[in-house]
Amino acid sequence: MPRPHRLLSMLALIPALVAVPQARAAAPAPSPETTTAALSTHTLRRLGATPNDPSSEFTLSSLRGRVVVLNFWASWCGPCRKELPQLRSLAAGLAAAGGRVVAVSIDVDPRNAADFAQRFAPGFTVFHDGPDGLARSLDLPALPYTLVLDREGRMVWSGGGGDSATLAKIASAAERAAGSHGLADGATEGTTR
Amino acid sequence: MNRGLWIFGLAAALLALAVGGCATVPVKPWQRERLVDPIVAFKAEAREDARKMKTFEAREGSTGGVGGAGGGCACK
Amino acid sequence: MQVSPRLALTLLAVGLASAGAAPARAQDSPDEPQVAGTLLRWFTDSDHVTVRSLSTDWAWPLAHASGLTFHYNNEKVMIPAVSAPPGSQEAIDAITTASRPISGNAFQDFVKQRNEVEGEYARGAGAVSYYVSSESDYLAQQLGGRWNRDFRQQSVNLSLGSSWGWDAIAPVQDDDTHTGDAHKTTLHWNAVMTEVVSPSLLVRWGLEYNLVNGLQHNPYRNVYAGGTNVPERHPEERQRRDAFVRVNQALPNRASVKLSYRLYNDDWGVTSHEVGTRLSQYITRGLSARWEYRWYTQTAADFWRSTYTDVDGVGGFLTGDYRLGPLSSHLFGAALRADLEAFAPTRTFVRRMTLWLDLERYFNSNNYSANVVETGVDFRFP
Repeated sequence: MPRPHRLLSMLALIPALVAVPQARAAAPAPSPETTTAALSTHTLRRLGATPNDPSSEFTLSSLRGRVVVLNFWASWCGPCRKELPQLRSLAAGLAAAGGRVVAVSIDVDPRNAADFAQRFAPGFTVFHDGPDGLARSLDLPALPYTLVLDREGRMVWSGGGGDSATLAKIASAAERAAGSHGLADGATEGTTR
Repeated sequence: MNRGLWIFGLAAALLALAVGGCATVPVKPWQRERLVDPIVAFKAEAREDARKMKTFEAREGSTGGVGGAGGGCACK
Repeated sequence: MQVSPRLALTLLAVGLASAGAAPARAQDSPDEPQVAGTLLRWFTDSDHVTVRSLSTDWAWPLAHASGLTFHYNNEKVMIPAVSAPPGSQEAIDAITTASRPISGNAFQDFVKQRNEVEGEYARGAGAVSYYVSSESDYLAQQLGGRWNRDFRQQSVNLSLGSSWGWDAIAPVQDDDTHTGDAHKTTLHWNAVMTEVVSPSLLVRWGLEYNLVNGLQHNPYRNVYAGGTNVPERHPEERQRRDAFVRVNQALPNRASVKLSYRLYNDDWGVTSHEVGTRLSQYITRGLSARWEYRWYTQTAADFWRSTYTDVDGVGGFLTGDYRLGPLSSHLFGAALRADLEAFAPTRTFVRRMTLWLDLERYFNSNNYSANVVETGVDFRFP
């Protein structure tokens, strides 16, 4: 066999030999038990708030009684560019029914997150947690990633992606979590510190 | 050194490293912020590397070193 | 080995098939922004050759995991006139060994323009590209295909690429060599693996292969051999291959170091080693500085001689091309990069811009040196 053909044959083998042993399984989604435990006590900081502002921090447990769409995003995440404005629209619709969208940035530098939010979803209240908070404890399998929590704070849906089909699934999951009682059950919002 | 053997040896080393990489734990999406930073990522300097390769080819006797690698989203 | 058009068409078909068969993701709009960029590059060397490059690049992500890229470059090369007194032996030697066409214009500056266009369409895992470069005596075209796939939860990416280039060479009139029209073809393959090793470390490995057929010497250059000047002659076929590794490591305090090594070898006998390093550091948010050093060394081609005693050279080949001789070089560079969003986040137009400035100093063992200044701007939409 001529030398160039031998080399081409060897090169052609590489992808086959690399691909065969590779598992195509995606990273596992966080389990409902892990999620409930991690979220019950974790504190989130509102982006743009001053350190002494009493409303700058809150815990998700304070939203018990409401359906919560908890979304994780980052300024360096491509799909988050189109997801954040869609979440802002979803938040407006959910708020009317008493639900809440909590969009949390996992950026290391909150200034990058603030610039990104200002560029793609001005006026939308977003939160910052960094990469070593809930992202680590939940071991998020993708970015952006969204959890839908029912009124008792239990995770009832989770998934990754920022396209409109995923947003539709999020909205649908929130509606199912609400059941016939609507998205809120008379609880008050926020725990100030 | 026999050139055919040289090429084959490099191809085998590349393959071994690719398979050997199975042993490491995949880096999680939420850990990848630094990797997409322009001062770290390969993509940020791809155009510049291609320009420099052409300059060096015009001044030296070799070629290559840039490749044509693609890449996925760092988000997953 | 002659490259067949059938092989080239096969390569193109593979690239198109990969691009077309990739499953379309249900996306409303692209994940990445459109980016348009302009670059000005100014090159000057110790032979007083200057090259001015003005280029523009445009990246247009589309829906369904596809995208277009476009590149255009206009290059103006100025080779100075022979500076030796007319009629002197020095002038005669400079004319007969010149690397550019001389036909009654030895004592005038030689100016040449080159236009280069490249377009690529990518969809899913595949991409196809077309490249053309045109100047007064050389038309180069290239068709390329590329395929890539992620493994292990996007921790490993494997990319395979190929291209076929065909060049039409039409030397302009030259007093000494009288070379006629010629052709050259290049078949290229590459296999590249990129791995995310840790949250702060990227590694890339690659293998590349080129098979070149056709005219591969300078059609305007004579070589002094056996007491007379004879046109340069190189083999018609050349197999070129290289392997490289690149390591990008993020460092604490918002810095990074990039290391690279390339081993090259061809069947003309040239073997080379290249080691590169880049150290980057953020000065403030959005503003980074980079220092660069590159070392290169190569051996001579089998038929290269500093002096040829026979008009037949070595095995029928002889060269006056310093690039086929023993060579080593150093490159030092410094660059600044500014992402203006960090400085003006509320300015709608300014915040979308990234500026950079790059300075380089190159010199090699042939007493040759060059300076490069490069500046450019990228603009994001939105």
